[in-house]
Amino acid sequence: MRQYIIRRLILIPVTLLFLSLIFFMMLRAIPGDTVDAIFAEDMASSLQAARAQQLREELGLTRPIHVQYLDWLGHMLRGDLGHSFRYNKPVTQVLKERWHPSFQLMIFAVIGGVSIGIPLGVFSAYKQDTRVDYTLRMIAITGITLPVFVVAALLLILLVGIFGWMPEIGYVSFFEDPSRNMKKMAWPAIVLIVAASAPYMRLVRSEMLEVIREDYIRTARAKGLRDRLVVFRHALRNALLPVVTTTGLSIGGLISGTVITESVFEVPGLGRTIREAASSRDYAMLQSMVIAIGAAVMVINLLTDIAYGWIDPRIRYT
Amino acid sequence: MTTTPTSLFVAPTIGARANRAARGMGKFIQTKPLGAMGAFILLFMFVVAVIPGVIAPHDPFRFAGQPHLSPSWTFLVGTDELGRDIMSRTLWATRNSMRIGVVAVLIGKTIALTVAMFTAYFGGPIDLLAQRVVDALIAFPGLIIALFWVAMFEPGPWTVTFAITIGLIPGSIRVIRSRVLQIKETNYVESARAIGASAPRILVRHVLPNLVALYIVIISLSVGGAILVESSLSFLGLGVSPETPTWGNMVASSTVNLFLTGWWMPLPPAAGLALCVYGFNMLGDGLRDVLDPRLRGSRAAGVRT
Repeated sequence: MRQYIIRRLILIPVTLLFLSLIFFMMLRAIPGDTVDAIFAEDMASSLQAARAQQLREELGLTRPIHVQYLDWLGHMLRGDLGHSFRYNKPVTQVLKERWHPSFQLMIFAVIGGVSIGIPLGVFSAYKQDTRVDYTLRMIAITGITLPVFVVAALLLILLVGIFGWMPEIGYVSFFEDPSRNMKKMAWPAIVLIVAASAPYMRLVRSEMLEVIREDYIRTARAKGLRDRLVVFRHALRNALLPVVTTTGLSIGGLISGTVITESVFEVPGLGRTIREAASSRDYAMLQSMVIAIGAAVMVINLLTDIAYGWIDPRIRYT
Repeated sequence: MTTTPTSLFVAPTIGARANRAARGMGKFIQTKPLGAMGAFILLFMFVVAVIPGVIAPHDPFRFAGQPHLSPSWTFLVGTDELGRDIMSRTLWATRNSMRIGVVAVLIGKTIALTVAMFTAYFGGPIDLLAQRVVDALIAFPGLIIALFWVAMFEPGPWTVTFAITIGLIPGSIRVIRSRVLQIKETNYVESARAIGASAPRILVRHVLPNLVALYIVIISLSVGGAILVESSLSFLGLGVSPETPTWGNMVASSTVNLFLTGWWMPLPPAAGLALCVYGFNMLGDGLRDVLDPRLRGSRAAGVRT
């Protein structure tokens, strides 16, 4: 087990190095660079062209690719991620200012998704093939089919168009004003929870239906245990195993979800930063985001695998 | 089925083949009603996608009436913020969104099939390199990869298509690769190698035919997700140009001025998108159960973004 974890931990920086290399090569392979992005339209005049050339030299973009990459790598290892043109600040500072709303949203989404999806899934399986079950399954399929942005748009239009009430959007730090923070974060959180709970519901339902057919459930029932005890003590415990894996795998969906919800509800988080950096071609920012997202996803996947082995002793990692 | 001795040696006629295809379809409808429903929905949407100009009552690009009109007989679901008919735009959006999604999936999965087949069969350093690239890219959700891609290239339909394509490749390489590794160990491949068949011959005659079912299932399961990525990009304003109607940018433009927006305005494009994604997922699930049940529960086929 320990060896397995060490091997995976070593693999993370190696993969990240690879990732940054791929991104770096692609950026340099395409026509146009950061300077073109900054000067966007008015490249025509010779004065601008001269200034662009000067800026290019200042930024070191005239050097060979491998020198640029090693230079970037050296700075990154020392904690300097470069300068963001979109925000006109060091990238590290932007990340520092903007990570908490996204973090808060993701925690809400996972907690909300688990605590709504799992009970509904259990209930749906318990009432298999009744009207309740069909209704819940329909809701789950709708939740999976509707993309996050449609849920967000529908929610906004429902509130404004039908109830004539504009919700507070934007962001206030939780530590500054907890009640306003909750008021503002409630809407993006609801959207993410809707998207996050539907997959849990379907998964738990199908797992429960499988587990309920096991011999030990029949034994538990045969010895006269109450229904509730059988469902929660015997069935749910075993049905929850794959839920752990799903939580790890759903991180990707959650990241895309925060990009959308933060853009709609104007939350200044990392998701919105990715979108803004992409639309203004802020390459320093994007390059750092590549590393940050890659690292986050890989660490979470590793934690999921470890948790899975810890919960289910039958699993052995070698 | 009656087998006369001749039928063993004579290739089935076209009529017999059509018969068998019809019987297969009948069986699919019987055993997988949801899959058949998905196929039916998609058939309808493909017709809309091919001839939107014939069905649409108005020009989708020019204003046809006052902005923000309520539904009426002239404008079945009203007009948008520029006075364009929402119904006609939704029908045209079906073509634009589905074309990008389907083309992206076809390109992406074909690349994945080719790369996986060659690297898994030959192994060696190229296989190792491909594996590491896959490891690196698989960590990223499709939408994020697409965002990075559109940030680097000139905006346009092909940029958007390729942006979606990239995210579709790594997951499938993994699935197909592991299948190729299995096929490589089978007796028939070993015997083919024993009698001196060349590598290209083994790949084309023995490996590829065994991947066709998997390929079809992966494609049908992925289009829904690809269309979702396209719509999300359009919604964020990073898809094809805003005049070109797509489901995503129509939903986005109907939330521009919330107090003027009627609650029905985002519904037609949202319904079109949901129906399409639902259709592909149902058809994909049905095809998977029939063609390749082993793939059940494997998320690598990639349904959700």
